[in-house]
Amino acid sequence: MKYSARWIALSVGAVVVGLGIVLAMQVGNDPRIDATKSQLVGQPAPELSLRALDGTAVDTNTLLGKAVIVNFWNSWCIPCRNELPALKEFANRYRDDPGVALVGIVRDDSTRAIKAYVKAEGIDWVIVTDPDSRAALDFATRGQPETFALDANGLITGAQIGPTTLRDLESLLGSAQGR
Amino acid sequence: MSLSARRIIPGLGLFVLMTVVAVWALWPTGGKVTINDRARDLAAELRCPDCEGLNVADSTTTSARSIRKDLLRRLKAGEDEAEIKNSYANRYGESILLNPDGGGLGILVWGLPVLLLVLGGVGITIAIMSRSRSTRLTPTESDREEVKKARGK
Repeated sequence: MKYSARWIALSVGAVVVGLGIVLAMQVGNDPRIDATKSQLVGQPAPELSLRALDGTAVDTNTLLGKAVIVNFWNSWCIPCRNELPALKEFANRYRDDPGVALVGIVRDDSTRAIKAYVKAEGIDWVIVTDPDSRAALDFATRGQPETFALDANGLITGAQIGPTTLRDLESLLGSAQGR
Repeated sequence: MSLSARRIIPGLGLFVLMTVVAVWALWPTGGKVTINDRARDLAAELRCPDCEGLNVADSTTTSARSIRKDLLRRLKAGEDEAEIKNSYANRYGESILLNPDGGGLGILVWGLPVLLLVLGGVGITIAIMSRSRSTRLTPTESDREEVKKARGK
């Protein structure tokens, strides 16, 4: 009986040590790391059915056949304001390229504030509203800005969480064009 | 009371007590579960994607509100909890789930406490049984004499 008790104590000790080792090995595997990258890269882009500020319908079909940069943003977010010059420069570069589209999806902002901001900043690419946050949810956004690249077949080829630079945007476009 | 009865009754009593407590703890409570209840329970199992340390049920961010609406819509459409959680984990990653799944390393989180409980229970049972089986010491006549003498002093 004395031996059984000893074995049980040893088993419990082994389990505790095992658990300690497993937990120690998991220290570097912080689940919040998920928040720094998109799980959707390589998957088909979610269906979009949104309205631009001028009322035009923007959906998945209108974007197929193009390399698309989708940028989630809003007027009150400072990092969004910081990346605006890069987006403007990118839009200028590809304004006349029919194979490239830049779409800004408003996340968590009022249409009124967005319209005023777009006018004040001279933003001339397509800006769509997402009233029930359907698109933001489908793209699994965690905040703004977040930028996605879609290839001509509607596959997500790249994503950037946080503000982009012109270089990031070129790199995203490259992934969408298979460069 | 016989010696064997004295051995069995405490163990039996403990077993009955543990069974009653387990049944009481696991017995379903409340009335009919509505879709809103299910959506709320599900929201409590998802991490709010754009805030720190809150679940979707308790958060007031736009994302959390959208997710709550989405959960309700999906449940009404006939999707079950597992399907919905799986869909969220595919889009946001496993970290969106506040309760780890039962596979892979997640099995350790669920399995180890149960294993420890079982091992602890076996240990306690063995300890009780070994104590009850140990030879009872009964005083001899000379022992009684010694005690009497000592008390007499």
